[in-house]
Amino acid sequence: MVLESSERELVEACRRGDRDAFRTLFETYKNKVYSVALRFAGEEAAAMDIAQDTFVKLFSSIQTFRGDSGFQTWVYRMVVNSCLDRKRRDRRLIPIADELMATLRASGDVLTQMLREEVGNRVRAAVEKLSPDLRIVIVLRYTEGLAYDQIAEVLGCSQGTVASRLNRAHKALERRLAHLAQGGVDA
Amino acid sequence: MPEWLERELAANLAPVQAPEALRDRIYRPPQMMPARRISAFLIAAAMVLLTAGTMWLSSAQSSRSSAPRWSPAGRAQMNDHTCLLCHTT
Repeated sequence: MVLESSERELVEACRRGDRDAFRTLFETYKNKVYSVALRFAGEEAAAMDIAQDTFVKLFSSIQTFRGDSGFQTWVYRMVVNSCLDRKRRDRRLIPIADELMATLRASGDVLTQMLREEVGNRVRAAVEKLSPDLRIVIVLRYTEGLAYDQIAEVLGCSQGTVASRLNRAHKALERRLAHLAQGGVDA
Repeated sequence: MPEWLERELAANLAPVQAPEALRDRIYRPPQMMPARRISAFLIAAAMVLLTAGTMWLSSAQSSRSSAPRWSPAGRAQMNDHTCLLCHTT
């Protein structure tokens, strides 16, 4: 894959130790890196650690980037590796009683909003329960909108493997979130 | 895959903005915590003590080795006053 000329210049500047280039790199990729980290880890503190780890590795190993793949693919590889390296944490417990009381007290638009948030929490919790291999495929697909071939390049596997993992993840999520479909999620 | 699941995943896993704190964590050098500062001081103090102790031991050993040492025969000669060099008539 051929690098864009601006991207190549940026990488070259980083290799020379140009601090402004590092800043530009950070500003360009911070949201992508943080989003993948947050959607994978499920909590902000862990996402911050993963994102920091990713940028530290990225800055320190940019000399080794050879340009065989796109720079963005390389960045995604970094964040995926940081995500998978991190030990899985205990799932955050949602104070159900408090949320239920708040739901009962609320009405109208507020109630609708709270129900939407609850659905969102359940969807994200179901994703967090997936194995890391399946979870990272889901995050790259739905958070970053990557195509199958791009995911395959990031993960270093075939498109068939990506399709298989997505299929397994979808089935698991459908099973765990079936009650949302029955209860209606169009609120 | 059902359409509702596709929609929910896209809506609830959407990308987010990185917090400003991330920039601070990347660019600001980590502040030394008081506990770390204390442990650094303790390590430095231990190193000084260790160095001083080593120097004292080595100087004590060298002064001991420079003192005259008598062989058993020599010591017996001294005790019996039979030193031929000193007590010859």
